[in-house]
Amino acid sequence: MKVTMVEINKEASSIVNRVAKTGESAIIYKHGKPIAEIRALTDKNATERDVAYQNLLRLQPAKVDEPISEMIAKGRRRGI
Amino acid sequence: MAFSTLKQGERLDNSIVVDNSVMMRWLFQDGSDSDQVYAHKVLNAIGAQARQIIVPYIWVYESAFVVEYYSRRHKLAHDQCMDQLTWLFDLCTVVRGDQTPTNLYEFSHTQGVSAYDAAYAMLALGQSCPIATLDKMIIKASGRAKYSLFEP
Repeated sequence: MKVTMVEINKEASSIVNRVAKTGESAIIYKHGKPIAEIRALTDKNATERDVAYQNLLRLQPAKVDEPISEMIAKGRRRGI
Repeated sequence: MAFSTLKQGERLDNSIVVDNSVMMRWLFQDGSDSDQVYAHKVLNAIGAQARQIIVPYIWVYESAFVVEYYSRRHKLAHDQCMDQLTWLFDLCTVVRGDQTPTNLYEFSHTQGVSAYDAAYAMLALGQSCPIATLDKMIIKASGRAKYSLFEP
């Protein structure tokens, strides 16, 4: 997003929050020229989570012949 | 992936407890179609709502047990199982909360659930967040114990 120095002076907090929330960086313009950028820090855990999520979404679950609920109960009976 | 030791009263934002009965249906299908549909609606909703999955520590053992059992029984590829458990682990925050044998006992005794179920339910209560579950006992106890069930 494009922001001006005037906007930064008035709304710095909301601009920073928006960058952190959306991940979209903010380019700061002064007298019509880009002079600085505010960007969100990359969160390694968030990236891993996103990759994991996408992989799980694409996954075709394997067919099994014993009920999952039974399997969980079996684990518990065995004293997990 | 993260292990989290929460301080008393600390809450994680926009969280949801997901029971192993739901997560295992992201990896396996046993023919229970409505349960499968629910589990996948939960997965979709978690992405859409940017929810943070939290699980009690016992989930680590439960998930490994089920995957190991099915992998042996159905001769599933070792790498495939390792990948899938890693994805689940990456997606979750495993909470080492303030659960003790006595409060688990008390909750399970008064609510009529197993101590294993209590670990999930108490986490949802403590975090004031919903729980996604297909476990009949956890569902049954939700009204009495006043934790909310997640409806995707």
